[in-house]
Amino acid sequence: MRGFKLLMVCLFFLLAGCGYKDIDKRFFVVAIGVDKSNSDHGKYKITFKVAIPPDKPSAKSNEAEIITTDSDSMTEAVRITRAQLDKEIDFSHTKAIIFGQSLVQKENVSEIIDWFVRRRDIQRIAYTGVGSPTALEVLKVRPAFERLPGNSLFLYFGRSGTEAPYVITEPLFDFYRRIKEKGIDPVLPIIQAEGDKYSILSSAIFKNYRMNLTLNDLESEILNSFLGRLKKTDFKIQANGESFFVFADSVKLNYDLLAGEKPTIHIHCKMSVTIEESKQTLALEKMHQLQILTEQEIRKNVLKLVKKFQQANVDPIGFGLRYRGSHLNNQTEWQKWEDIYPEIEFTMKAEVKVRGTGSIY
Amino acid sequence: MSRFYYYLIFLNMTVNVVAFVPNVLLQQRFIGAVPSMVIALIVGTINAAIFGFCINRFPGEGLPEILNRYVKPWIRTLFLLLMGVTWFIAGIITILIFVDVSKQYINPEMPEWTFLFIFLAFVVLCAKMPSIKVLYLLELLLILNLPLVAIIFLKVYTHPYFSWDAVKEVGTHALTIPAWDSFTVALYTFAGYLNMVIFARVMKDQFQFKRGWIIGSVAFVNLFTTFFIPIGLLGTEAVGHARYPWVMTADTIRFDLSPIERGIGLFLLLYVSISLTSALIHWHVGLELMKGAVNVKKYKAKAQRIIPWMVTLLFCGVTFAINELLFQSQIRSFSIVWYTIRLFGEFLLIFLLGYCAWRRGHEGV
Repeated sequence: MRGFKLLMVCLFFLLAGCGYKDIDKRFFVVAIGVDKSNSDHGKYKITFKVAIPPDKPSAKSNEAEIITTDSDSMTEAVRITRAQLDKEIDFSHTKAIIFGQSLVQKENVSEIIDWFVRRRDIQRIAYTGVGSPTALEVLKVRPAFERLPGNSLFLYFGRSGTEAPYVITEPLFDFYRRIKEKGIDPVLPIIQAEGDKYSILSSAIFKNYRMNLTLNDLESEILNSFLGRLKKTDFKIQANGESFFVFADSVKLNYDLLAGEKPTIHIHCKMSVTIEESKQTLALEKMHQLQILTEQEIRKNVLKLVKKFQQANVDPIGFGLRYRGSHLNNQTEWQKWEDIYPEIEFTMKAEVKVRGTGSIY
Repeated sequence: MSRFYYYLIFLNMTVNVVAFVPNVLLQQRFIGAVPSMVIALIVGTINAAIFGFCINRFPGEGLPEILNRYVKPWIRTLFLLLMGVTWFIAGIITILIFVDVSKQYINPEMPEWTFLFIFLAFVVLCAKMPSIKVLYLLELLLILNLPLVAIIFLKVYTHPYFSWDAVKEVGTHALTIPAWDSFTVALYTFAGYLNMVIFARVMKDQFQFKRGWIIGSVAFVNLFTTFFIPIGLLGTEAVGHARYPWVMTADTIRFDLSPIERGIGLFLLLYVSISLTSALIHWHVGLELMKGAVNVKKYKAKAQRIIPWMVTLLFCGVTFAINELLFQSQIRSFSIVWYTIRLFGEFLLIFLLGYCAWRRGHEGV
C-alpha cells in the first residue's frame, strides 16, 4: 500500500510541463484599435499598442510600440502581428478597444466585435470608444503626464482619476449587450486625438450596428445622468439676462413610462446645487428666482435631448426596454413600441434645491 | 438538525451557479424557465421536508442500514448500486465542467488530462476519508469561501450597469408553459439534502420543521441570483450566447483598487474550492453507497481496504473516458439527460425511505 501511494506521488512529477511562458517572453497589448482600411489587403486596419516595459521599475516610461496590420479579420491580424514580434503576444492587459470613426459610420460593428467577446482573454470590462479622426491616431497619443503606456486613457474612463461629466464610460460587455438588445441602443464616447492629448467631449449613438448620431458635450452630460453614472456635474444657466453656473452635487434623473390612451414618458429630475460662478452679485431674495431659472433651463435641455433621440429614432436610454419589461404581450410588444415611439409625448418636472451661493453672495 | 445539514444544501446551490444549471435555465428564459423555477421551488422544499420527516425516524443511521432491515436484499443491492452510480456521475459532471472552465480561463496551455489528474487525485484521496472528517473539511472550506461569496453578491447587486428593466422583461415571460429541462435543473439545486442518506450516520440531532423556511428562502435567493443576475448584467439577448453565463457575469465586475482588477479572478478562486468540495462530497456519498451495496463489512480487512480503491479508480477511468470521447456540447446533453434520471431517482428514494418509515411506525418503535 505504501509503495502504491509513493507511486501516486511520483506520478505528479510527470505533470511538469513548460506550458507557461515567462513574463519577459511576452508582449502585453494595452489597447487595440480598429479602423477602416484603404488598402486592398483587407477590410480593416488593425492596430495594437504594445507596452514596452522600462528597465528600472521606478522609471517613468510610457513607451509603446504601435503595430498596424491590414486584414479582413482579427484572427488574421493577430497571426500577422505574431510574425512581426519576437515574443508571445498577450491580451490579458488589453483595457481599451477603439473603433475608428469612419469604420463605425460605414461598417457593421457587430461583425468585428465578435472576436473580442469570443476570446476568453479579452476582458469584458475593457473600455470601448470611437477614435477620431482614426483609432490609430488615438493610440499614437502619448501624453507627457502619462506614467504607463495607455494609462491616461484608462484613467479617463475609470472613475478613479478624472470625473469629467462628458465622458461616457462604456465597458465591452455593456456595448455588446446594447448591440444585441431590443429597446436600448449602443452609445460610445468619441475620443478626439489632439496632438499629444486626448479630449473626450462628445459621444456617438448607434442604430442598426452603425454610428447614427453625434451628441455634443452638454447632451453627453445629460445622457450620462440619465444612465445613472453621473453624480456630480455643473450646468450653465443663461436666461433673462442672468448668467450663472451651478454645481450639482447630486443629480437624479429618472422617468416613468405612462402607457395609456396617449403614451407619455414623464421625466423627473431632482438636483441639489450650489452656485459656482456668477456674472452678477446674487441677492438673497433672488434665490427663489434662481431656482426657477435653473429648473427651466434643465427642463429645456433635457426635453430637447430626448426629442432629438426621438426624431433620429434612437434610444440609448432604454425606453423601449422599459416598455418591453412592463408589458405582457411578449409577441407583439416590440412591433407596438416601434409604432408608439415616434409619437410618444414627453413631459418633465425638475426639482432643484439651491443650497447656497458659495463663499460669497 | 445540525449545521452540516445546511452546509450540504448551501454547497449544492452554490456549485450549481457555474454548472449547466444557469446555462439550461437561460437558454429557456423566454420559453418556460420562470414558471419551472417557481414549481421547482415548491416541489424542492416539500421534498426536503418529507425527506427530513422520514429520516428523523432513524437516528444515526444511513440509507444502507435502513434498507437492510425493511427491503428485500436484491432490491436493496440494486437500488444502492444505481444510487451510487448516480452520485458518482454528479461528481464527474462537476469535475468535467471544472476542467473545461480551468482550461479556458485559468491556464489554456495546460493539457486537459493534467487538470483531470490533479483534480481526481484530490477528490479520490479526500472522498475515502471517514464521513465526519469530510464534514469538517466541508465546514472549513465553506467558511473560507463565504467572504468571497459575500463580496461577489454585493458587487453584482450594486453593479452600476445592472438593468432591472431587462430582469422585468424576462419576468414578463412568467405566464408561459413550464419547460421540463428547466424544471429538472432547478430542482437539482435543492438536491444537497439528499447527501444526508450517508451523513445522517454521524448527525445525531433531528431535522426541525420550524427551520424549513430557511431552505425555502435560501433556495429562492439562490435561484433568483443564478437566473436574473446574468440577465441584468449581460442583457436579455446576449445572455443566451454565453456558454458559462456566470463566468461571463463575473467578468463584468471590476475591483477598482484591488491588485487584480478583474472580478473573474476572484470568482475562479471561489469556484476552484467550491466545485472540488462538491465533487468530493458526491464521490464520498457514492462510495459509501457502493460499500453498502456490496456489504463491505462482510469481507476480510484487506478486501475492505481494496474495494474503495477499485471503485474510485474505476470512476476515475470513466471520467477520463467521458472527457476523451464526448465533445463539450455532448457533455451538456449528457448532463441534461442525467438531471432527468436523477429526478426520478430522487422521487424513488423518497418513496422507498417513506415506505421504510411507515414500516417502522407499524412496528410500534
